[in-house]
Amino acid sequence: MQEYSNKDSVDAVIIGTGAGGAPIIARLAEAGLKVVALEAGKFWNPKKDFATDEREQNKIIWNYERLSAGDDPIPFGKNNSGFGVGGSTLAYTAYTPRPHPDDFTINTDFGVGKDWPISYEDLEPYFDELESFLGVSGPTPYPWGPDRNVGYPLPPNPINGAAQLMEIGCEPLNIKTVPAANAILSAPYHQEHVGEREACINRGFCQAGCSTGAKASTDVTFIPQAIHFGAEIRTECFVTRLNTNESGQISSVTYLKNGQEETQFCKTVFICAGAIETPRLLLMNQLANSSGQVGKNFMANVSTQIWGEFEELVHPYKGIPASLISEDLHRPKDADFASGYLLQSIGVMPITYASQLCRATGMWGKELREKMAAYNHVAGINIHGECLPYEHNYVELSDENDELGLPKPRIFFSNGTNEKRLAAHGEKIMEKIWDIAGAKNTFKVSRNAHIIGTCRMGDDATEAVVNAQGKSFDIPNLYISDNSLFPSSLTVNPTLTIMAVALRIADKFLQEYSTSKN
Amino acid sequence: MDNKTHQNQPEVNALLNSEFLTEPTRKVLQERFEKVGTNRFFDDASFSLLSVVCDLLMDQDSENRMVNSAYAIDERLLHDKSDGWRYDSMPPDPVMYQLGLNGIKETASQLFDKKFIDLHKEQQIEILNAVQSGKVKDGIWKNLDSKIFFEELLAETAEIFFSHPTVQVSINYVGMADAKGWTKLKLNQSENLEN
Repeated sequence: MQEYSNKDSVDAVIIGTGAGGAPIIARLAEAGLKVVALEAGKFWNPKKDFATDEREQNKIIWNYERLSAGDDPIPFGKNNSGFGVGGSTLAYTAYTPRPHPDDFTINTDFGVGKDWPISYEDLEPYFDELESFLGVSGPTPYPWGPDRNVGYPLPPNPINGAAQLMEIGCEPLNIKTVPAANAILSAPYHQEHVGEREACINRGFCQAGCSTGAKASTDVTFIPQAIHFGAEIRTECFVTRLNTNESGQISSVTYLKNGQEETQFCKTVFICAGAIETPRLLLMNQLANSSGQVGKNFMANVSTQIWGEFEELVHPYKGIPASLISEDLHRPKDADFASGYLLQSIGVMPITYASQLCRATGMWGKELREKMAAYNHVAGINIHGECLPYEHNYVELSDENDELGLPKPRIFFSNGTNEKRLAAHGEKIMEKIWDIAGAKNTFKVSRNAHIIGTCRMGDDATEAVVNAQGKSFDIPNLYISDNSLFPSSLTVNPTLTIMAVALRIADKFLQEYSTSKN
Repeated sequence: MDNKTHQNQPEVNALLNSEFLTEPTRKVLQERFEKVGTNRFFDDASFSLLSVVCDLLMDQDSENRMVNSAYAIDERLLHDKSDGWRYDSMPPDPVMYQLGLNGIKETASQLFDKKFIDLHKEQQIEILNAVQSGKVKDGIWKNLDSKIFFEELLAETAEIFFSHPTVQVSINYVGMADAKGWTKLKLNQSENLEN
């Protein structure tokens, strides 16, 4: 791997190697720029380092403590924040539905929330490119959304027990289902500059780390590509400071490595650290916040789950956890709320299940042991829906420090009326589906998944942190690329869109870069 | 962890030594047996109390215990390791655990004028139910939300308990034996390893 000197002012420093950072690292390196990626975690070797054990795999989770406040405090760490090269893609289920064109115009359509400064059409070529590059497995033609230019490169993966039960429950209700699109290989796949990746063997362990490379986390896709083109991936570097010169531009980035401070000089910085760490870094440095919007509008998709026990043997640990989808509820006709949601089936690993069971139902003692004895007969279904941006949901710095001596972030989150109505609508439908499928002893887990917002993009410098190209309105050589710049939460899982926006930000940056060079 | 041999030990050993586990998985699960804990964060009295509470939460008889989650809790608190978040309304985990256990001691002495560990099981369960439902309000509980303390304690105890291979095999979970992957995904279909 290429290595640069700290004093060498590289063309770009990218902070974070997840879905927002990795595509930029690869794109800029391919264009011949000198690129250094700073990653807080390690570069794992999944075959050697990853065990099929949820407790052990907590090492791939961002475990620096965050303080969760509000009426619906968000559990951070597992399920929303990864640690290591690959970022949160290490722990994502690789569910990659495309957003719908109207996901970008929620304010125009409903008078609430915020429109995006870019459209589905702006991102469409990147969705095409990503599905091909990552090796997305899914049904062609896809029944929802606009017609595609190209189909999915691979057929869908086999569906697991929970998905088969959801099919049984949906059919009589005329709810259309198909095997979900996942960035998980249903057949071996050759990727240029990456090599041969093996097909998924249905370990079902996507959320705790894929050990085979079948799941398209960025550490097995964009990062090898970036290294091939000469990028340096510098690991275990925790960025603490963005240093500015007399003209107010970023001149260097300071980070902690093995307890020592080091500083990398650079011409441009891309912060891609996710919806908590990105605003935290800007707030700590008091930068790029003339709009006052840094840390504001924190969102988390409505993701209520219903779990049930079935007569059938389900073995919920096998197969891709979320392997069936319905987008029929994207804009429900009888809705008393704005926007909508998708439905997905879910399998589950035992520790995740036990933990959710305890927190959601309070079961303990004999009752808990009996409930857990039925684990092999358990299947889940959940919604994934819009969460509107609110003033009362935000990230701030607390006065309590973490082990690095940095202020812990405090995150306020409370669902509003729209989220509560959407959740109630989804619950009714999920209960009907599970009832038809034969579920017994059901219980509900009210939750919000995915962390979004906090550095929104927009056209107006007084209302947004960055413009439609991800560039800070205040500091011309500072960019943001991750889930923090989403103006609205979308109805679909965010990762594919994070990557598409990242590629667009990279291309727009490179256009400006080559113009300024000529 | 306790090193007692449980009745399903031969079955667990056979599984852990089989070709169906990857080496990293085998290593992690075997270490879980080998680790003999000592309490270094809690004093002996608090540790005994925590052990009894964990047994009640996981419905174990202390004479025939599969896992004592208290050891792993003690080790985590000793190193002040976080799992990525905590309720903003609660003090840091090491403080919360000390306060919560002291709260249980206080409640036992108020209600039954005895040490918690010397009470009958029914009385112990009554106290834990009161903590879980927020019915305890005096003393320490004035400043510590007993419902949230209970939720945190229960979730952590369960996560540790159900991570032990002995417990996992007892609920017929064999997901760790995935070195060759799974091919039978249809409902009611089982691989050779599965019950």
